[in-house]
Amino acid sequence: MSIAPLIELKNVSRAYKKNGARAVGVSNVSFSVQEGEIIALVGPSGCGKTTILRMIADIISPDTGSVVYENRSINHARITGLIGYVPQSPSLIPFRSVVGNIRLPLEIKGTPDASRVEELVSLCALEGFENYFPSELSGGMKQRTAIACALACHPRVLLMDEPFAALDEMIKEKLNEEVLRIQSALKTTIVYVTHNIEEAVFLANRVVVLSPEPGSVVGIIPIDLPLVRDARLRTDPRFFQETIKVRNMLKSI
Amino acid sequence: MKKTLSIFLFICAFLFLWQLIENAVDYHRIENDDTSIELFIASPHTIIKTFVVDGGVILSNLGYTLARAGGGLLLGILLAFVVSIVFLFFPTVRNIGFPFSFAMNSFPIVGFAPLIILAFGQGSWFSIVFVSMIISYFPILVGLDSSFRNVSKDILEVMRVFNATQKQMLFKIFLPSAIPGFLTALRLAIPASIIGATIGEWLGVRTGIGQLITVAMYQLRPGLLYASLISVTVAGVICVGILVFVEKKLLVWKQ
Repeated sequence: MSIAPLIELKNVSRAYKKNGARAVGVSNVSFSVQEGEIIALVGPSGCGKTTILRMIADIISPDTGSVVYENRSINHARITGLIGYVPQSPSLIPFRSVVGNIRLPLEIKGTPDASRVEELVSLCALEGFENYFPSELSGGMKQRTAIACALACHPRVLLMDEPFAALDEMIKEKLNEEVLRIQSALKTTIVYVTHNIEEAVFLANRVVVLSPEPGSVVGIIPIDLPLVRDARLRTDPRFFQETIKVRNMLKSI
Repeated sequence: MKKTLSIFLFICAFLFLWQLIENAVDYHRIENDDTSIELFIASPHTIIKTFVVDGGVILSNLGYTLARAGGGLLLGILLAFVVSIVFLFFPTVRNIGFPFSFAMNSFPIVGFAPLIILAFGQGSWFSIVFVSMIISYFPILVGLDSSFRNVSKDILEVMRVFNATQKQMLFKIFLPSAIPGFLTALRLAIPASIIGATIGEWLGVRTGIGQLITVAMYQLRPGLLYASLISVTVAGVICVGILVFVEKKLLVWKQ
């Protein structure tokens, strides 16, 4: 591709402490993310998927290598509000209602705009739940709210860390379709971490396959499926072929 | 309602039995030319009589005690907030400071109070308030500190991605998150502040329930002693009751 990437990871490594000893979590990872695409990071647990995502979110820094956003440091992108982050467990503020939670990032930015909150409520299909507290919501509804929060300040990149891992299969499939719907409406670039091959293939334009301990890139598989996708795709033979490609690469590790 | 009624009936039965036993023992002692037990252990009848006769004195002294306890509690809350916020943003200070707070709490207050009273002067209002502050500060510090530390790591990371300032983190995340912990700590701190004020008064001034208890003891007036203790206990229970009510109104999101 000739277009300059939106995000680029260049030989990124990061160690962590395991029982007091240093262990390499992620080693020499390089890949790029194009504007508007959905890229899925897939690998067995302990392969550093979350670590990579946290580095792209600028929550932690790489020990060596760099994460670059349009030729500037990722730190700059985070500070200017270009990044939205949805962690694994719903990170909602327990004492704020759904609307209050969605308003929080806007308050932090200094633009608490009621019409924007309404927009997000309808975008994430949260109508009727506006005044519920997180403790009154189902897991799926919590994650919808978390996505609305992450999208509040118009980020160009949405980072999602196994957001639906704790949900049952039916709701997960529904929410995957929602993610595609939201993405096609907003054209947000998405980096999606998952250990579920079907989920990765269903969502992504490209799948980055990672090997465990230390986490490194085994290969990047372009997903040869139509860009506009819906639930019917799950029963399409081409969908199975693509999952087999990913599965085989994971098996070869 | 049924629960309240059964508690009420239990107390009535208890008082009735107490009065009955005391009457019987006293009858026996006076028969044998011995002193009345009423001089050492008050009967419910005497306590009620004391409330009727000396009610004004008890109430005015209770007012002093509650004012000092309230002052101590407020100062304790203020100190605990300042210290816990410093601990939150400066972990090194916390590492050094927290053991000190623990040590301060382990120090027996009865031994500590004379030091403070000596330092601020006998009869000084502030010394009593200070004793009360010292004793009520610790539960609030622990409550706030653990609430701050229990804020989910995921929330903090999301806040970082949102580029929230430390001030925003404090006012939008940490302080509101600490409200339940703070209210729970208050349940301990309110009675503690009253204990602190009473001990301080016992040693240091001529007013307040603490002083009334001392006077009652030396003058062999158990009725006044019991009535003072009951009044201060009831005041503490009422304060905590109000707190529980406020808690329910405030924490709707906790279900």
